Amino acid sequence: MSERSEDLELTGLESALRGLQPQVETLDRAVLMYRAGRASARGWGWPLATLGATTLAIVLGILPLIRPAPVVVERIVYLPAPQPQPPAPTPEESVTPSTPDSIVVEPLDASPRSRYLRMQEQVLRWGLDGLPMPPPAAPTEEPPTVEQLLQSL
Amino acid sequence: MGPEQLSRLVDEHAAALVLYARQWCAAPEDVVQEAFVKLAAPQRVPENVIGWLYRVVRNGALAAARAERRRRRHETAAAERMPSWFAPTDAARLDGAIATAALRGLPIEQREILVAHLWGGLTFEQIGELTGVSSSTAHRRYLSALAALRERLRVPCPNDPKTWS
Repeated sequence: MSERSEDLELTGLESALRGLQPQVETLDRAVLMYRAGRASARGWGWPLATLGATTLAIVLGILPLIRPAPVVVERIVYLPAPQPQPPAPTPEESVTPSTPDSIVVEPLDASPRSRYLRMQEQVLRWGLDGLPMPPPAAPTEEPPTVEQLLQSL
Repeated sequence: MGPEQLSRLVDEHAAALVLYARQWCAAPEDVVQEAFVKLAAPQRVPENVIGWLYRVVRNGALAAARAERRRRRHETAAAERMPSWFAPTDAARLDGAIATAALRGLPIEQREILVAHLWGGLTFEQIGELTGVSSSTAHRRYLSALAALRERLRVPCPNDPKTWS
C-alpha cells in the first residue's frame, strides 16, 4: 500500500516536472538556420579543386629547379660537297638600282620596240632622272669654208 | 537534410537539448547550435536523428565544460549566478527556480538521465546507448533521481501551491 502511494507520488512529481518548460535564452533560431544552410551548401568540390590546383602549381614550380641542365652534344655532320658549277655567262651589265644616282642602264636590245619599252619603264620608275645619259655626240666637222669649197672644184 | 525537417527538429527538440547541455556547461545554446549545424552538413543524416543529436550535444557540452574549467577557476560562483533552467509559466505546478536548485543538487549521472527522459523524451534504451550504461541501469538511476528530487522538493509549506508536498 505504501509502495503504491509512493509510485503515485513519483508519477505526480514526474508530470509536474514535465510541466516545466526549459528556458531557451539566447538560442537565435534565425542564426541557427542561416548557419545550417551554409553548412548544407558546403561541399568538397571547391576544396578539392583548390587542392589540385595548388599541388599542380607547386609541382610545376619545383620541376625547373630539380630538372638537370641540358647537355650539349657535339657531333660531326658530313654533308656532300657541292658540285662545281660551270661558269655562268656573265651579264654585260648588272642592274642593282637603289637610288637614281646608281642607275646602270641595261644593255638595250637591238629591237627598237624593246628599247622603247625599257626606256619607258625606266622613266616610270625613276622619272626623268632615270633616263640614260645620251651617248657622247660624235665630233662634228666644221662647215667648209668658201676657199675649201673652191679648192674642191 | 531539408530545411523543413531541420526547422521541425529545432522547434521540437532545441529547448530540451539546451536543458540537457546545461547540465554540464554554461553556454548550452552554442553547443546546441553547433549540433544542428553539424546535422545540416551534407552526407550526414544519421538513422536515429534524436539520439545522434543528444550524443553530439553531450560531447559538445562536456568539451565546453572542460574549456570553461580551464578558463576560470571560479566555476561554483559562476554556477550560482546561472539563471533558472525553466521559463516561468502559469501552468507549471512547480516553481522553476526551486526545481532548478533541486535538479542542480543531483549527481550528474542521475540528472542527465532525468533530463533526457523527462524533457527530451528519450527511451531508457536510447539513454543507455547515450550514456554507456544498460537500459535497466538507466531506469534505476532515473527512479533514484526522482526519489531524490521528491525529497528535495518536499517542503512543508501548504500555503505555497508551487512547492511539492
